[in-house]
Amino acid sequence: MAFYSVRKIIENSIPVLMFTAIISIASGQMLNVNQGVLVGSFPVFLIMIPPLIKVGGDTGSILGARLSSALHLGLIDSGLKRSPVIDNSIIASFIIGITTCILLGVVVWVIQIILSINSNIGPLAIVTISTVVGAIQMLIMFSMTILIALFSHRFGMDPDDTVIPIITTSGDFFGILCIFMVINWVGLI
Amino acid sequence: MSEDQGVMIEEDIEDYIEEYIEEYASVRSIVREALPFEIICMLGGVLAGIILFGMVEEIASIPGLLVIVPAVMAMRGNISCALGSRLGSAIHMGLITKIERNPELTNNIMASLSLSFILAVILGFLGHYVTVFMGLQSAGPFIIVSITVMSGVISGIILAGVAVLLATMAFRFGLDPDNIITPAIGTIGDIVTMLLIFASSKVMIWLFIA
Repeated sequence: MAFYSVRKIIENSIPVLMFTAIISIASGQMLNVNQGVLVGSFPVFLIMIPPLIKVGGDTGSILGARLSSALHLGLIDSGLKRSPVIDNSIIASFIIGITTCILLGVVVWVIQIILSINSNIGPLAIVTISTVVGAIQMLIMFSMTILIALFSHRFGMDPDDTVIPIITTSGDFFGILCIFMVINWVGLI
Repeated sequence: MSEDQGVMIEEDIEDYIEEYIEEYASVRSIVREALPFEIICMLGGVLAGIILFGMVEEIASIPGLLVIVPAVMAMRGNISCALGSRLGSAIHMGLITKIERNPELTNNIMASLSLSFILAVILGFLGHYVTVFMGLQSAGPFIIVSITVMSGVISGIILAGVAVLLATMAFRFGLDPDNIITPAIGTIGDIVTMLLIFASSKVMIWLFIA
């Protein structure tokens, strides 16, 4: 008898996948509603969106995985007390995210030149948008990650199974939301 | 005397644990380990973005296509990363000692492909009806569902292959599969899935729209 059965895996995965499907369709609708901005005025954001939402999901997952390992190892308990393990994981994930977002802005700007995409967005604006969006996104993601990790541990669920898919998919949603909020603020729309 | 020794060892262990935790939890060590990986993953994401940028024409001729892009990408990531981490756990538990005719392996792959098909159908219909409900234009359930199923299932097959290949390599070279499979699957998955959404859209345009 195999340890993994097809039926068991499908039954265990469907609830979380259905939940993430609904969130991701909502993310897609945000893109769809703003199709004019993306396809018409600023196609450069089509390049920036997939990596930017990925960084949010990744740094959330790094933090989630570290918190979950720390909980498994008993380095922190599930109370919301401050601990150097939590603090340092948050600071490190944030440094990783911000560095990657700044670099992403530069990379997207270079690609904009190489592909000679016509848009009036200069390098400073692109780097600012990717960094600000990244920072807001991480703020939301990290709060969610910490709460979900501690919550799921307290109720005896394995955080590895639930936290990562929910974190990455919500990361997409908040990432896309932040992108349109920030390009709205800087007055591009 | 023996009591003294016991105390000594206890103190040593405490020191060691403290040192280990300090090293494990230091900001510098986390950043140094994870930042290079994250930059590579970001560059993979940029590649997916360039493919999306190349889809401008398809996005314009298939209304509702943009809705399913993040959905298929997220589904692919969630299902294939779970497959990767289950293969990693199976290796850790010693369940995978050979690749051919291993029920643990085939069950995991079959489950992952079935999930991809079921979810792709659901995503397609959900995407179409939510778009229509919001009063926006959609290319219709048939075209949208065909694109989610084609791209979802084919990318699932490719990534299952990649996951098994990475698991075998990790197993053979004695590396920890948990550290390799999931991030690699995530990044390769984004590129492969975006390419397949692009290809499926082109096929649907060629067959039914143009």
